[in-house]
Amino acid sequence: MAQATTRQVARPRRNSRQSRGDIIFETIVVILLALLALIIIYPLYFVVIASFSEAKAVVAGDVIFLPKGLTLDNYMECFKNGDLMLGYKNAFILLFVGTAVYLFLTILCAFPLSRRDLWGRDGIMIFCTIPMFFGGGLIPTYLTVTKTLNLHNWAAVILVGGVSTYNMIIMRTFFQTSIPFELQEAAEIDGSTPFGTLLQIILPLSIPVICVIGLYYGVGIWNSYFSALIYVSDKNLWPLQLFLRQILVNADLSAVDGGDVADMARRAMRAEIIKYAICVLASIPMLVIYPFIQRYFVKGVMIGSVKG
Amino acid sequence: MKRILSNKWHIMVFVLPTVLFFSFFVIVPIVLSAYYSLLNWTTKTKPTLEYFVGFRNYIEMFTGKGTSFPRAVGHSLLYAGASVFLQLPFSLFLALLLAKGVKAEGFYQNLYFIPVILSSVVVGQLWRKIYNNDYGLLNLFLRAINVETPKGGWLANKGTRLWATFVPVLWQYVGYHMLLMYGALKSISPDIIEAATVDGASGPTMAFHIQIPLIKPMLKVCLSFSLIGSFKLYDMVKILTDGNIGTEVPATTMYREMFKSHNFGTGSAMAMFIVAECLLFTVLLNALFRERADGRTLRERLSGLFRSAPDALPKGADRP
Repeated sequence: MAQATTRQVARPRRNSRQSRGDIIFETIVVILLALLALIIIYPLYFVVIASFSEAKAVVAGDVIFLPKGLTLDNYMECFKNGDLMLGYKNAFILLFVGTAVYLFLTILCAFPLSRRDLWGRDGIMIFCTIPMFFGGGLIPTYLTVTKTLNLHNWAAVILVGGVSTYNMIIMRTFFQTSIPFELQEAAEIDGSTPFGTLLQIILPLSIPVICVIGLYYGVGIWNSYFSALIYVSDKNLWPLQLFLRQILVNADLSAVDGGDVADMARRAMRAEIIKYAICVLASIPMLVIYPFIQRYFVKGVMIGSVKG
Repeated sequence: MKRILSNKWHIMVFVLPTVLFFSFFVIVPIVLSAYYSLLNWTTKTKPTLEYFVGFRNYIEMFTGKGTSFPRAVGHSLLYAGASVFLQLPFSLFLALLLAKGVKAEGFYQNLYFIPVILSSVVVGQLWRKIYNNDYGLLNLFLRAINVETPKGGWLANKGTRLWATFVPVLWQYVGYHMLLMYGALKSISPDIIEAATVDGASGPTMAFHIQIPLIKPMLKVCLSFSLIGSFKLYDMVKILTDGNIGTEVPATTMYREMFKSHNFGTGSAMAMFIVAECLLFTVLLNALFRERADGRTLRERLSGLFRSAPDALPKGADRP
């Protein structure tokens, strides 16, 4: 017991009743967490090392801890096949434009909903929650966008992706809880228009939440490929994911057309390995910025769970 | 004063773009889907009232010859069960452990969240590789410890294909739910935790009597996410097995009906069914949580101050 007391003095954060049982428990916890971390990280690590390895070694199951027969061939193949740079450029433009549009709409919508003087607030709120549960079904949306609006470009992709109500609610909660309403009232008594209030009072005080929501949207846009696939017909406008997809398809095709059996088998094998490189290429931008943005994800959740 | 009053109308205008947006891309398509679902609309016919067939599409999709829709619905319910009874408890367990303050808390939390930021195409490809019959990690491991591997590969074998399809989705989103719950746990006032500690609560007692009741609103959000996500599950299944027989889910069957068989009417009926399913479970979930909140227990009274917190949370949402 005496030991426990000294421990408590030494580490004030620990529970005062730290006993041997607790230590064993904590050890088990750490082992468990580490094991799980391994289950999550190892497949990802494997993709990376496999993408730098020779196809033969991967297929033989020799690549386990380090790349075998270090090579950049798999990446060369990718860059040879598609206009990857164009893809990256398009994907980034789409990312920035899309995020900006969604943020703009989200802020515009969250602002009035955060104010208790908005008439019909509950009704609008309920209306806005409908899209959280139901997508409208692909066919009518497709017809609306391509036939009624005649859109076959990024505008279609951005429109179909849409504002997320969940993000809007987080934003609204932040406006409500972190910015005193009196501040807005004071500004408006001094002659500020609502738009002026939003621009000069709300926005400067909301940088953190705007970052969080922007990130949520950014990740979503980056990872979406399906709407680009069905709406963007002009290849010059394709985002990265579509080019990568095309490489996948081509690799599979070249694996089956012609040549002798050994040659075909070799190409099939290559096609399999190229997929690793593609996975890496598609994920790099997100993984590179992830360490810088991860704390905002938790922040977003915590803002969302504050009373509003 | 009049000016401030007019401002009230003024700010209504701000909501307009989003409301219009939602109307045009969500509400209108749902209404149209409902209409199309009553028509016999194929490549040979047009979506006009001339081809009105009443509820035939709905009957067809369940009882028609060779329809796989009932099986697909069964699969999605099974997946929803797995998500609610395996994935969520596991995420909660992790969140509780992390919120307790282990060493390198932030590190684990970041790590578990990585799969969430990856595209489902990437995660799908990744798991296809893991399942690969010849050189997949899973089989290499099983062979190393002398366990038999399923014939024909995990995604093709009759006994394993369904769960082999589900596991990657569960794997990908464990970290997401964990993060939501972790965020909620961290928002609990330290005073409450301290008070409970003084009263002698620790470990499981603390978790079950203090922490879990206090993050109920967030648990509800997680439940909505996982249920709605289950019914809408599409891209991962598409990438892993293309929704082939034995692994079909409602969304894959619906797309097949629309783009392969060109039965737009039946496809729309399936879309409506998915909408109805989501609605039903949302209503059930709300009812469940409302009832629980009324039967106030001791621990809820203890946390009286914070009981009003639930309102702050959305009633459920799409995965961002």
